[in-house]
Amino acid sequence: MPESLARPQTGRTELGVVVMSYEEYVTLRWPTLYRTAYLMAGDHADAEDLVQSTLVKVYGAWDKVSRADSADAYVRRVLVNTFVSGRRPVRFTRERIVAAVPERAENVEGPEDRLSIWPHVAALPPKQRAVIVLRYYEDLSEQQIADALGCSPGTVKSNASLALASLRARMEGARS
Amino acid sequence: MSIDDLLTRELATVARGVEPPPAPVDQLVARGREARRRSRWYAAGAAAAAAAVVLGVVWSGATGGGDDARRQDPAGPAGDLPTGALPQVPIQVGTTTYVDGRALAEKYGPLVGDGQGGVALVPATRRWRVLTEPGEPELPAGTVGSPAPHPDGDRVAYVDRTGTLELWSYDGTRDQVISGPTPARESLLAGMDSSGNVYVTALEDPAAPPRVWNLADERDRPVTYAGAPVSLVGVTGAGLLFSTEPGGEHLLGVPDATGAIVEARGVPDATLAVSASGDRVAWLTDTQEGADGRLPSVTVEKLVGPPGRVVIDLPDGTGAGDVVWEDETHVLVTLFRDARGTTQSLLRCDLDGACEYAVPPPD
Repeated sequence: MPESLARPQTGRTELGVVVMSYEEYVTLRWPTLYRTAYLMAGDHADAEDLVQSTLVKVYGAWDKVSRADSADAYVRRVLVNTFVSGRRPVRFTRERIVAAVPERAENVEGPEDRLSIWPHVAALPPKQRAVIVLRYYEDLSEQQIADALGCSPGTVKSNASLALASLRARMEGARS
Repeated sequence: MSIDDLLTRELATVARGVEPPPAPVDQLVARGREARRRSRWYAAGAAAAAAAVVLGVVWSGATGGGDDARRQDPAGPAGDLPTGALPQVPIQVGTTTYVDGRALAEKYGPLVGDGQGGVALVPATRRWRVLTEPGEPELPAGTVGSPAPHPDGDRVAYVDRTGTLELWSYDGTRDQVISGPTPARESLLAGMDSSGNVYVTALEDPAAPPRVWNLADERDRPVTYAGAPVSLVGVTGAGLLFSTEPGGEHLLGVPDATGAIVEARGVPDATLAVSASGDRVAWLTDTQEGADGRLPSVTVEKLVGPPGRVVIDLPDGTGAGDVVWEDETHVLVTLFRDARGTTQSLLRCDLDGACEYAVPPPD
């Protein structure tokens, strides 16, 4: 589970509202955003591109973002939309389907606990993958995911359902 | 262990194993400043042309000829946009489903098949339900993947667990049954086009080279272009969206009786919709306001005849979710606002760029 995305109590105060500088925010949130981006993009190069593109976009709106009820929700939305709209489904599925698990993953778990579903997550279409990451890693509700994706909760539900069906089928296929 | 638990555990494991590089704060600030500078320049230019304008239209006589584009008189601010008839094709805006020009009171799951053929197909409990037919008939249980409405609107195709492709009529009869050559779990219906072609790919790899059945001869063949298998991008009523290599240019074409696509035309790599006739393509140029000041817009371009393109900026403060064709001369664009607002609306625009709300934003 990622660290809490609640706004930290740092930065200058204006009219009783804690306002963080852009630099503070980037420093503080970079690791969390990077990990989420990695789970979506599947490799370090794409993850770094994704987070950087997101934060450059956010810079221009920082006055507004920093005063938002949840700067993290705003940034997450930019991140997810940058990921989904910037991806070519074909390229993504074709390239990611053979993506290896992260180098260190096998060291974290024993041989009996090898990652069995992550390689299949990596092969999902971008929107389904974003839903899976937001739901199972960020632990967001359907409404929060819908807000992040700019779609209805029903669309989130259907994407999750399709993703899970696909993952089950892929795992069965891998076993047989 | 359930798949939910497995996902939670493995995503956390992978994330723990990721060591982020140092945050390039200075670099991001520099890039952000540059992007904002360009944005301000753009905003100043736009303001001179259309202060307080929310909708603007750019017409270019040449395909892709942005240099020759000229901005026409703006259609007026979003608040002044008229509200027209409800959408005439199946579509969902927020949690409301619109069918046959009316808003349904009941909440449904997502429409599948983009309302092709005017068919509203939604998931029901373990089945698929057709909202646009009297009695709202349901498909048999046990379909694999999503079914696809026939472009004529009179049947729905699906693949069952045995790998068999079936065409299902609303009275419950199965018009045509085609047994697939591949194991059941590998079959995945990709869609149908207006030429009677049914495209199927592999569940294990939805982007695998598709095969095509032509309903006239009931044989399936691999789809090829220039003698080589293609990569699947999607299916529209006007034909197959494909590329010649993963990540390559997106093309639109229709296979002949041998499965070969002889003629193809380029289309954007974007959220798009091709009109039923195949004459025009509409796509979302930018779905959200960019750091460089680009506004969300929808572009409509002719695919046949003399080239022509219309770029329609969307109402200020909105993002675009999807675009569909209502008929040959109107596109519908679903709009959303900031995540905290979550209001949604539907814009209808004609080929001259004149727009109205089919579903206005909530007050």
